[in-house]
Amino acid sequence: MKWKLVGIIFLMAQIALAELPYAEHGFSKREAAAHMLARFSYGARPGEVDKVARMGLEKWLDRQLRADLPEEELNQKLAILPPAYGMDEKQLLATYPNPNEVRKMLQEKGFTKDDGKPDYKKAKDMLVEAGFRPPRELLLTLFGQRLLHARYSENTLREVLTDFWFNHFNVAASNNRARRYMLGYERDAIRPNALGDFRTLLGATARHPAMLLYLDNANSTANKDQMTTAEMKMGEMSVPPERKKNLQKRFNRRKKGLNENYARELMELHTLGVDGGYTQQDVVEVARAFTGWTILAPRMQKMVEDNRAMGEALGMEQEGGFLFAALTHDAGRKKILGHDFPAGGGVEEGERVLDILTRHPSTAHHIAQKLAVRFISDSPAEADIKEIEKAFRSSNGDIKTVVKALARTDGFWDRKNLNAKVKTPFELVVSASRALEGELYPSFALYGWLAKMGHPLYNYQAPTGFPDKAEFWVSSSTVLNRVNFGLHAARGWVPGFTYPARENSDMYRALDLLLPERHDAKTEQTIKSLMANPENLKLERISKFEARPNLGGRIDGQEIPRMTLTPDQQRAATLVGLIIGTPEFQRR
Amino acid sequence: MWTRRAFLRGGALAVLSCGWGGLPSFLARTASAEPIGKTKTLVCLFQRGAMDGLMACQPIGNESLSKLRPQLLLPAQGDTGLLTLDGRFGLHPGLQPLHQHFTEGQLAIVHGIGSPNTTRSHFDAQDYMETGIVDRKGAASGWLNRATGLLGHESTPFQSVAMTESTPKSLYGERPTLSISSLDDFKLKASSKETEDSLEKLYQSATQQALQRRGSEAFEAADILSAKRYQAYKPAHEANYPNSPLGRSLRQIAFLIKSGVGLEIAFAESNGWDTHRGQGKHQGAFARRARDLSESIHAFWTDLGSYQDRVVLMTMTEFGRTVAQNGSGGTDHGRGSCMFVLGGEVNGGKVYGEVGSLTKDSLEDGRDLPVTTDFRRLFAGVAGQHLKIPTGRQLFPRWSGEPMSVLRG
Repeated sequence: MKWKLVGIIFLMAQIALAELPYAEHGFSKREAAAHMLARFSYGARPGEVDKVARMGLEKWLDRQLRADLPEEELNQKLAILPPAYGMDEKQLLATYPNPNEVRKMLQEKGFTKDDGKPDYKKAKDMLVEAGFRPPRELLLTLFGQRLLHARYSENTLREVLTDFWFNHFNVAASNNRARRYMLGYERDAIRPNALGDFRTLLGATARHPAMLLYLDNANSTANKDQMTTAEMKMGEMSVPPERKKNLQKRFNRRKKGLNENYARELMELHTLGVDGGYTQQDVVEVARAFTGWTILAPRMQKMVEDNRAMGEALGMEQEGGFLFAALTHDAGRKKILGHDFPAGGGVEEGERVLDILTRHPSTAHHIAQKLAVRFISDSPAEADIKEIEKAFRSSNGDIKTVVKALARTDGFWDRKNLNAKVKTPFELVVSASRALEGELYPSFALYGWLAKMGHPLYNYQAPTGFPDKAEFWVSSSTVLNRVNFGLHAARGWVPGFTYPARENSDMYRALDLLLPERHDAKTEQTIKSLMANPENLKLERISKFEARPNLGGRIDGQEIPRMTLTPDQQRAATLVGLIIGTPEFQRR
Repeated sequence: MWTRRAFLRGGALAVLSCGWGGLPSFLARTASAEPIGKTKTLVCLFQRGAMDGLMACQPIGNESLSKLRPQLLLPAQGDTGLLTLDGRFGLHPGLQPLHQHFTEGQLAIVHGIGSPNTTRSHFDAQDYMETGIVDRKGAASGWLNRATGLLGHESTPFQSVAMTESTPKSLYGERPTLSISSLDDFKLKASSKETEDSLEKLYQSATQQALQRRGSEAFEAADILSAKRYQAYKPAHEANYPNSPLGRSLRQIAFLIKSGVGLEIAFAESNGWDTHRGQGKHQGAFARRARDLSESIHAFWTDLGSYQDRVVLMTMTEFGRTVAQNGSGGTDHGRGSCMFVLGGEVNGGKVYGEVGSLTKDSLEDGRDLPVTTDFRRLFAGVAGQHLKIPTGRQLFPRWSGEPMSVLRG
């Protein structure tokens, strides 16, 4: 026994230390480090390529996978966020009420305009006194925390994967009901599991109110002709016939019927993949298994609390914002992907479906394929996908093991895949800031620029999430806006994006910072020839920035940092902006 | 100031070396704001999320329908009821602005239309519809890109334009195409000619294909557009566009059509049709989308005025929705839906296609409006007749169906 354990530890150590196969693919250590940072981080910071090369790529990756580096700088930055960031779900709901509820409340209390519409200005004091805060602040916090984590976190791989998994289990702020839960969704369901266990992650999303509302499962109930868990349990209890009849009437009213939305996307997008081998009948059966998975609406809290014992006897389960309503769970027999679900089941049926889906080979393939697209190339080789898939299956979806396998594939180190991925606009912004040792601050303007570049964070309406391919990210419109972003940001015209000003003489260094180990002759030559004539580098702002709705304002009591530049610094800044706008900087 | 670039490309006039000085006669015409000859434009409007065709255009007096979707059924008459179409169908009141175009004979509706591929995945179904290849996934080109290629005459960088941030699948392919999310922003904000030229050259020689292609197209088009002033654009005939993404898209398409930049194929999107919940009747999620759709289209059509004769607008959606309502006052993914075709040449005032009895046993898989018209029949018919392009396998590979004629002549 003891020796077996030692053996396992020895084996693990070996896996941990096994060299990544960069040398055999013709990479120098520095080149390999730059490649790793381009793929597994939000962009190299000054000196980081050397640091990783010195430390050893394997060790760097290992520490990133452990994701336990101290976060002093990040924590300091997060402190600027509105209090929403630290609130638990209950506090969040109490502080940021549903806009519809606020509207109703104002109308009831007589805060209305002549036309009967609510008058928010008049009601402001009352709203403040009630402890309410404007909903846009919640979205600014959501955007802000992602931005600050991406820019400042030492555990950068976890952040890259947080972005990946959020997008995989996409939820959109365009959904009124889900919006208030999205901060908690990323903070509690996604980030802590980004490098953990796939099944846990899947379960956390499945039970989260943001997902339950976004994909409508919160509203899916047994069809009228089906017995529910609560009805079955009640049948086994001794309840007076008169009371039984009354209850039965109430039960029947709750049976509104199935909603297939979550069941379908769970299989199509989250696990098996669209060709993963399920049928329309499976969609219906999975939807039946998830009936009753709903949210604990704030207005129901007291009712659930008061009747907890009875509820639990009937099969109810409640944890945080999740509620399993046994009253609406279809307890009939089901057959899902060939598995038999006998009649009489409850909340465990959904969990069992998630188990089956996690173990299904199609899921391993689907997740492997998506990770390969994210980290290797837009069209990864089937052999690489197979390697990743194998790791997923053998580790039962341990994400660390899967990422390690990915980093060892031939495709990852194939020179033809070097810089083959086009950065998302978010990566563009963050990597520019990191390279310049700049500061990012959550501003409306910055969010607006992301939207103009085709990346309205948290607002991709469809459950697919943003397609992770160059064809999607690069259109005529977004190319121009990427170039424009570079020029604007470098000149200090994007509130929220600042960096230490440079003089002209620093320019060769800027090229090195922004494009480490890249050595692209065309880019370098172009920049150098522009530098030769400072007159070329005067830059006028042509038209004003057009703001976008949906996310507004600044954080209470804070000024958005700005930068002002001397004429000499302005010319240097134009060059920085041009480098950010080059095709080379769009790649990673 | 006019652009330094050649405006035309492709066809016999591929290389028009006008340089900085000379202006080709074609440009001289556009510069004087004279509409180019008889340039025809096809505007395709994709309703993403799958529109409930049975709610948009509801069969009247159908017993089965009133049993299967009691909460989604509109009365045949009255203020909150349907608008009369042809006795068999009524139009949803949220689509009221389209009604006059139907009665005037410019609007045709095709019902029971969809894809022969039975997928109920939005994303697959959209891909199949946009590529026009329904039995093979991931086809490399979109049907509108192929249509552009079949136009067979000289073209401008504005030959095909999508009013979207990303290039839609419909326009993927070999032919150049533009995506413009906002005409106001579609310009390079660099200063000197040197910086602009340097960046442009870098993009022209970029090794990453998407950056190279889209970059080159963007620089070229932005340069031309810099002489056009969208900011000063006033829609004609008091057309009143909703201030919504679709309203803004169609407003910009009208501007491009009228400014004579050679727009032949335009693409716009309307999102949010996935009404799983709270679909409503004359109010609710469907009605809101319907109003935005119909008000935007109506404003566009009003704005076009005398250009109506050379424009056809066609809507499309990836599939329809279940005939029965679901448990949350909505509908789930289904099969057949309906599409609208609006144009001066349209043989309208009719509901084309077939909608059966809707009894449970007549439904596809016992739940959905059966697809009785392959969408490619309509797409081929409209594009073929309006743009005068061949409709054979070059347009829709792996298909040998008959185009459907909803246009006159």
